[in-house]
Amino acid sequence: MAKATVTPKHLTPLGVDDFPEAVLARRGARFWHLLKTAVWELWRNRLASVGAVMLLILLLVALLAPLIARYDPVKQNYREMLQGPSAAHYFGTDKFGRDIWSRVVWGAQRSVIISVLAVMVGLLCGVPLGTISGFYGGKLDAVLMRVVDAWLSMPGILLYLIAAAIIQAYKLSLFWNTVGLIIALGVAQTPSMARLLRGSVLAEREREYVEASHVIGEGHLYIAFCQILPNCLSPVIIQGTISLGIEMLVLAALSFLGLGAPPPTPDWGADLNLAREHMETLPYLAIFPGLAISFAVLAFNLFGDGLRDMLDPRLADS
Amino acid sequence: MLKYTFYRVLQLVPVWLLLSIFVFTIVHALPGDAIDALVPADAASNPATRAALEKELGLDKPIYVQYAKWLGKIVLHGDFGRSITTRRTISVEIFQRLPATLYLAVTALCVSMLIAIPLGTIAAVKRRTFVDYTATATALTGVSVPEFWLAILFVLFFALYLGWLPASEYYSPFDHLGLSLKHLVLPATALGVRLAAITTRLTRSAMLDEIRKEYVDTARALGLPERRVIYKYTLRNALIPTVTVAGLQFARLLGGTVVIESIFSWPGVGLVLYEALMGRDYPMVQAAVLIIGTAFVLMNLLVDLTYRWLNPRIRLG
Repeated sequence: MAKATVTPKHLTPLGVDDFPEAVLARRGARFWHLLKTAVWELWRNRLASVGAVMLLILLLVALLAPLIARYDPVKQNYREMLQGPSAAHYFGTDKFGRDIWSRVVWGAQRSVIISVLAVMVGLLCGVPLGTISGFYGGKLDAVLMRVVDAWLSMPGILLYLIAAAIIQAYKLSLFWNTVGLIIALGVAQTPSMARLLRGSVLAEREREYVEASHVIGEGHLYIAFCQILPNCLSPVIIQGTISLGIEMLVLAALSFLGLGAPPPTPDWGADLNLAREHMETLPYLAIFPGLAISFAVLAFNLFGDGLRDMLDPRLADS
Repeated sequence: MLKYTFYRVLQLVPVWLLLSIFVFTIVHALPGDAIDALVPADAASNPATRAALEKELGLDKPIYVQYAKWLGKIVLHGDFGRSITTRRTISVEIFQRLPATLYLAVTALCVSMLIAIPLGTIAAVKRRTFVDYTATATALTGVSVPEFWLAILFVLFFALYLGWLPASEYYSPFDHLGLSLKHLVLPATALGVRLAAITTRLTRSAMLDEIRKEYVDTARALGLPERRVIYKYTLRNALIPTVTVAGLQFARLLGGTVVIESIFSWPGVGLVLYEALMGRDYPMVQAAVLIIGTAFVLMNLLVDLTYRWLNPRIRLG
C-alpha cells in the first residue's frame, strides 16, 4: 500500500543486518526498538487500532465496574423481575430481578481478571520451561518435549471440564474457586507456550552474540534469560494475546455448563445458562451476555492479529 | 516413512497409558466416595457397613491396585463398569450413543470444509476486494463468537422466531432421512461455524503464501490458464498445512459436542459426559473421558501421518 507520508528514519523497521552483534547483545535491544516501531505501526494498521480501542473500552469497563454498574449485581429484587431494556435498566432484568447491565459490567471485571491472570500463569510456567529446553538442548530437551507432546495430545476441553468439576466439587469460597480456575486455565497453556519459545530459543542460540557471551564467561542462565529470551518474545506476545481470547471463551463455556463460579456470582457464561429457560419469552436475556463475550474475544483477536502484522512481518497476512 | 509410522503408532501406547492414569487419578481426586453415591447417608456413616462395602467394592486396596484392576477390565474385557445413576452397563450406553455424535461431528466437518476452503481460496485470489474483506470479517467474527451463544441465537431465530427448523430431537438417517437432516441443520451449523472460520483464515493465508512462490509465475509464463494454475497446483500445495490444522481442530470439535449436545438435547456421547459430570456419576465420567480422549489421540495421529504422506518433501526425503 503506497503512502504519501514517509516513515521517519528513526522509526523505519530495521533489518537484521542493521544491527552490529554487539548492540544486539545489549539486553535485547531489538525488542525495544520493535516496541517503539510497533506503537507507530499500530496507528497505521486500522484493524489493530480498532482492536486496541475495543480492548481499551473492555479494560475501562472492567476497571470502573463499581462506578459504572448502577445496581448491586447480586441482590435479588422480585418486584422488578424480567423487565425489558428501559431507561432504568439498560439491559433489562433477569428472573431474580437483578440488573443485567450491572451483571455484564461486573462479569467483565471477572472475565478480564481471570483471563489475564491465567495467561500470566501460563507464561510463568511455559516460558522458563521452553527457554531451558531450547537452550540446553540434548537429552533434557528431548525428554521435556516428549512430555509436552504427550500433554498436547490429550484433549484440552476435557481436561478443563474435569479440572473445573473438581474445583467445584470441593465447594470452596469464591476466592479459592477463582484461584483454582486461574491455575487450571493457566497450566493448560503451558505446553503450547513452551513449545513456541523452545523453537525461537533454538534458532537464536546459534547467533554470534550468544557465542560472544559464552566466550566472555557469562553464566548460562544469564545468557538464556537476559540475552536470548528478550529477542524471542515476539511470538510469545502474539500467542499470549490470542490466548487471552481463548481463555475467555473457555471460561464462558465452563460457566455455561455450570462449572464456573458458584451462583450468584455475575459471570457471562452463567448468565447465558440462566437465559436458556426464558428463550421464548425474553430473548434479550441471552443476547447481552453473549454480545459481551463476543466483543471481548473479538477485541483480543483483532489486536492479536494487528500485533502479529507489526511484530513479525513474516507472518503477516496481507 | 514406514519407520516413522511404526514409531508413532508405538508411541500411542505410553500416551494412552498416561491418559488413562490421568483420567483415573483425576476422578479419584473428586471429593466424595463411590460409597456415598451408592448407599443412603446413614448407612454410609456406619463404620462397619462402610468397611464391608469397601471390601466388597475393592476400595480398600491401594490406589494403584484399583487402577490396575480398572485398566485390566477395560483392556481385556472391554468392561467399563456400571453407571451409578442409570445402572446400565457403561459400554452399552456410550457405544449406543456414539453414532449420533459421529453423525453430528462428521457432518459439521464436511460442511465446514466445503464452505471454508473455497471461500478462503477466493478471498486469497481476490485480495483486498469486497469479497476478501467480507470473508475475512466473517471469519474473524466466527472465531470470536462463543459456539453455545451462536447455538442459542440459532434456536431463538430459526426455531422460535421463524419456526423453520427444529431445535431438538434426533432421528437416525437410516430411519428417516428427511427428518434426520432437518433436525441436524442447527446443531451441525452451530458446531461447525468455528471450524469453518478457522479454516477460512488458514486457507487464505496459505494460499497467499503459495501464490507468491516462483512456480506459480512459471506456470503462468508457460501459458496455463489462470484457473488451472490456481485450483490444480496452488491450492493443492496450500491445502497441506490447512488440512493438517483443520484435522487437529476436528479433534477439538469432539469437545465442543459436549456443549452443543446439551443445548439441542442431541443424544450423543457429549451429553452423556455432561450429565454424568453433573450427576457425579464417576465411573461414567471416567469411561466417557477415556473414550473421547482415545478418539482425540487417534485423530491426532491420523492427521500427523496424513500430513507427512501428503507433503512430498517429507514422504520422499
